[in-house]
Amino acid sequence: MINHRWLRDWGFVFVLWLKRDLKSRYTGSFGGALWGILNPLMTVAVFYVVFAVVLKIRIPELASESGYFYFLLAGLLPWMGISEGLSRAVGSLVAQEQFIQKLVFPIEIIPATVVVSSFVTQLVGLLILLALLAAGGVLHLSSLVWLPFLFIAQLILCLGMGMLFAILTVHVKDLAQLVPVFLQVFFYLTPIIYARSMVPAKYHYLYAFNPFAGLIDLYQRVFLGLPLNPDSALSLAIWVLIAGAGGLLMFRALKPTLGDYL
Amino acid sequence: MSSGDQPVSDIPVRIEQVSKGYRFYRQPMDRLRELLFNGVHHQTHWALKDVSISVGRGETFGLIGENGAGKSTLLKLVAGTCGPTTGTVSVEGKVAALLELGAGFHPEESGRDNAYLMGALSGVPPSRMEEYYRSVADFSELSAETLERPVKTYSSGMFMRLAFATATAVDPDVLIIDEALSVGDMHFQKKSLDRTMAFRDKGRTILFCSHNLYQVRSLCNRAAWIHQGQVMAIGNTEEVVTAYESHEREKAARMHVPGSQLAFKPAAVSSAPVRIREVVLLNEDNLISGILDTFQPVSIRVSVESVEVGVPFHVGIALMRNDRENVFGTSTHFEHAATPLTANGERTVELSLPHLNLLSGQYGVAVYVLDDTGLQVYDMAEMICPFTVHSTCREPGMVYIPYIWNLDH
Repeated sequence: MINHRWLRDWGFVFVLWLKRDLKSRYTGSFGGALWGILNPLMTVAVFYVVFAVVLKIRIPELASESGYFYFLLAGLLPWMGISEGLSRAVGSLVAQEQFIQKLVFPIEIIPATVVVSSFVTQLVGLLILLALLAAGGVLHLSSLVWLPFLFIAQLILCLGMGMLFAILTVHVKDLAQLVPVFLQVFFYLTPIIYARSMVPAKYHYLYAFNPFAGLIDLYQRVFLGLPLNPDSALSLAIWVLIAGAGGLLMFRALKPTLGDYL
Repeated sequence: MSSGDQPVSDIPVRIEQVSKGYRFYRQPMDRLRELLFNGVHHQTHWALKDVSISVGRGETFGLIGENGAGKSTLLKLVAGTCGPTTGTVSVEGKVAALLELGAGFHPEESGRDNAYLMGALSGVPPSRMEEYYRSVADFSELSAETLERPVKTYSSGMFMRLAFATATAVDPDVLIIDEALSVGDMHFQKKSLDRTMAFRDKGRTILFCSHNLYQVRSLCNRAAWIHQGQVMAIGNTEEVVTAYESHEREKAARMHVPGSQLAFKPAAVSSAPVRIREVVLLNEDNLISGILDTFQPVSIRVSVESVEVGVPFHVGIALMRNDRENVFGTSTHFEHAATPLTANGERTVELSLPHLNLLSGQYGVAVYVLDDTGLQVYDMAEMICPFTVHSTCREPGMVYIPYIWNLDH
């Protein structure tokens, strides 16, 4: 069923839909697409003031004063991409009920565009981070070769989870309320605003059960030029497999009856 | 379900012993319980029960039936937006469904961007998109400048034109139309109908679902009447539509209990010098009737009473359609202005119509009691004695006007 023509035709739909999603999120506001960048920067500014200036947190691995600032951006930007994509994916199928009831197309496109569109905003943020790192003279070019792998891993992880959440929400409406809470909890459980090394080592094994911890850790290490952690890479690989395969299989299994439940 | 690689047969739409059930859960928890554990915690509503319909290549197939009979479910199954509970649905070739025009249009996006996405969703490859878009623009008759504006700025007519154009510009093998041909102004309705006819003449298969029995009669060569999820009649359009119409007539007859609301008696007694006591609509057998055929003889009998003896008055009677459009009216003072009627207590006036020239529709009676000049209204009652007319001829409209075609010029 999936062949060259299928990919070309539905890929085209995907691109059109992605454009529409990106456009519709920012048209009509004065700031336009600028909000896609301003939003994370403002969040980062707030966290920086609270944790670096008021609470005086220092990352043990990073000697410099501005280290925490870069650390925060390296973890927070990918996290915002993940959490925005997932929280928008949850209700995406229910919101696009009109389309699903009236037109025949691979409905995977709906949650997928939402996840990818958040990822695009994240990429813009990461470009700014790279510019800041370069300006600060702390850009580690050699470790950036890992970035494409992290991007692919993040996309598969988020597409899988996003599709799973989206299709389950059709059956269990409560997920629309539950997923934001789940994301909030994982934001604090994942070392984003604090470093993994600040957590007692005896708890580190728990990060294997956190689908986002490995990914965020690797992002931070790649941007800050720290040696990569094989444990994180392994747990990320396993989570990518679980979420990717699980999400796709679950979606395929529940898709045929979708029209009856919307 | 649908695929272009299958060998082309002469029956592109094949519905075999299809039933479709919708599950209802009393509370959301029941659905979760059923999802996670075994057991039945729902009630099933059967929208379709054991339906088998085959539509041949090049056929225009009509679907008729009351609201909620299951027609839309059937169309959805053919369109592929939902699957059958039991049985099989097979559809060959490219399907275009006009289930709800404009579904999926984004109000903030331009007409052009909406058309592109609709085209892509209907399977237009990128290489042919420009061609598709040109055909949409031509057919919708929207200017290039309009198409660049967000569709939220469109009038409903413009919106519908664009929607119809995007849905039909793909040249489908099977076209599904659900009540979509009544969009826009007359000019556009004609264009839509022409496009549908062009599909038919090109040998495309059309599934046409409508409450407009006139259109079904003139467009479709075969039809099915769906009633409570089952096929009541299938075959030649004329026979199926006639069977459906007579069923509707019987149903309407059951709803009209003779003598109840058909005979009008005013609830409050007016203080007018002459007032209406009762109005009844009678058929040729002098029976009160609410169901009439075109050309049937009818009479309207009005009983009035006066407080004093010898009060002069006139009576006007009009026939109205149920939207209060006055079809025809007459009054005793048009003919006998000089000699008004006089009431001594009670008096009855009857208006006879040898041929009721009304065509299909819902109508009512209006009665006016006027003074001797015909200017002042003593008492009146409008939209009383409601009746349904079933047309026995093919002409559309409200009133039958006798005519002769002169074709020898």
